[in-house]
Amino acid sequence: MNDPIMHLMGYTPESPTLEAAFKGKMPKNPERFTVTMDDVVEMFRHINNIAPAPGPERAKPVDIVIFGCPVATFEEVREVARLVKGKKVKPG
Amino acid sequence: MTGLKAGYDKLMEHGWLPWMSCQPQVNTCIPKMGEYCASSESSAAAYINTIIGARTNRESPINTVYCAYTGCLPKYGTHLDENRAAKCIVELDDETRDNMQGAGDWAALGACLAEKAENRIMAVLNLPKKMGPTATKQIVSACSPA
Repeated sequence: MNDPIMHLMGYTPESPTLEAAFKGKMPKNPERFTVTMDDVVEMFRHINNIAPAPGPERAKPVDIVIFGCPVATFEEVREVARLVKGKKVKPG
Repeated sequence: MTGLKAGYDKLMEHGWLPWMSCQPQVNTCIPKMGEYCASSESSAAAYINTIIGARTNRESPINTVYCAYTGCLPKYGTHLDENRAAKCIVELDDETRDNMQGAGDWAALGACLAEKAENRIMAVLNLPKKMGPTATKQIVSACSPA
C-alpha cells in the first residue's frame, strides 16, 4: 500500500458501497484477491520470526517483550494486564 | 538528547501540546469526517483516512510543523478524491473472517491484505461485523506505508 488509505467495507465512512470506494470508476472486472487462513497463519509466523513454527517443546526463552508500535489501545493494555496478572517477570 | 529537549522546550513555549503517543487520533486529537489534517505518522494517517474519514497525506515531519504554525497545507495527494479511489478488491474467506482473535491476528491479517494489494488502494470485503478500535488500528497499521 503506497497511499495511507484503504476501504474497509462496513467501516470506512466515505465508502458505504463498493461503487463509492471506487469513486464511481469501478471497472467491469476489478482485480480480486482472496485472503485465506493459511495466508494469515504464514504471515503471523513471518512477522513474529517463527519459521517454521517451533511448537512449545522447542520454544526458546524470550529476552525482551515490547508492547505497542503503534501505541496500544486501552483494550490491548487491559489484555496485557490480564496476561501478566499474578505472574512474575524475569529480573533485569 | 540535549537537542531534542531544547526542541521540545521551544515548542512548549509556543503553546504546543506534546502528547507522547503515535496514536493521537484515538485518544487526544481526534479529527472529524471530511476534515483536512496533517499527520506525519504513517499508521495514524492510514487510520484517519480509513476509519475516521478525515483526509491526510503521510506528510513529511517538516511540512507538518509548517502546517501547525501556519494552518495551511497544499491540497494534494490523498486529500483529493481521485487519489482516494480503490483500484482492486481483496476479500476474506469465511474461515478467516470467523477466526480472527486478538491484536496479533489482526496485524497478520493487515499484512496479508497489503501483500495481496501490493501498492494499490484496496477495497476489503467480507470483514467481520464487529471490529473495535484495536482490530481496525492493527489492520491499517500493518498495511500503512512506513
